[in-house]
Amino acid sequence: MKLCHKTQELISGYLDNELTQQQNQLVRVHLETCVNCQAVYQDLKAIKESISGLEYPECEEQKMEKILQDPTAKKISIVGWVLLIIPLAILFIYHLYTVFTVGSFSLFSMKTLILLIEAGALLLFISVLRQRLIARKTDKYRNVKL
Amino acid sequence: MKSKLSGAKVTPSQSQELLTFSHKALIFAKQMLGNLSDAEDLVQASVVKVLSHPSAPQGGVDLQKWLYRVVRNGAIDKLRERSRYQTIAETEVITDVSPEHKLENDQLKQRLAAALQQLAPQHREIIVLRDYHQTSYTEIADILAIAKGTVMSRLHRARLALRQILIEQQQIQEVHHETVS
Ligand SMILES: [Zn+2]
Repeated sequence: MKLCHKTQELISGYLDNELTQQQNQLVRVHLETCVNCQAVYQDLKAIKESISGLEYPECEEQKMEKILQDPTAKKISIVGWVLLIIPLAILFIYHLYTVFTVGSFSLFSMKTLILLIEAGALLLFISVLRQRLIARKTDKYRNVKL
Repeated sequence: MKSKLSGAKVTPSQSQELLTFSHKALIFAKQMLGNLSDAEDLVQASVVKVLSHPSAPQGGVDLQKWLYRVVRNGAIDKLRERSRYQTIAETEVITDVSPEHKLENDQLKQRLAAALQQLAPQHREIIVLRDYHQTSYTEIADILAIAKGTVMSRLHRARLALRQILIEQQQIQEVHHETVS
């Protein structure tokens, strides 16, 4: 029984082929004579073999590439586009409006709109720059979109 | 680091390599977390983390090991969030075995996936790394950040715990079968 205790965890090493020759010998001899340890060994062997044979669905390359895309870059560029498009649209509508009526558009709102447009353009630039930098850093993976 | 980058030649096989590693990492993440969409998010974040880390390996087995490690740590964090994670005492598993509790080999594969999900995360990770991903003891020690000497004993306890779950499942089924017939 004392030998069982000594052999116990070696059974896993034996299964995994990670033992020294001496330990291997010890386990082999013990397994031949001990019913309990033999039972454990058989069960663990069956479990190990079944796990290595488990099947997981293949992930399509396209989907994998999508997963590999950098989410942060995507977010920055979305915000950039929003900042760019919304003030432009307001300016456009305002312009249309002034064609028909003559009013005074405050200098402050004009400045704010232009600032937003500039911020949008800057963010877009940053998002492109960021992607370029990552692509350069991980040069060998530049086929993978990041 | 400079020399490593400037001299690197890009081959299609290298970006293929990252795809392969990520796919393996995705399976590992799914094994750990149990659901695919969480696993996809985790792998996505992990790949970005590894590739943007200044001292991450450029490729090969080491890159794969890094990816496993980052995915593993992320999975443990996620499981903690779900609060299903509890640290298990190394001695908790019963190692006494009597011959009458024997595992039936037929249908073992079908029951395994479910049994793996019942296993404590620390047991699950070491078993799938070894038996599904064919990782060596040395690599497992690196990925899990444990001493190489503890790999074998933890792995063995994990396997015994899994065996225990499978035997219990089997007994429940038997009882169920008897009451039905
Ligand atoms: Zn024995």
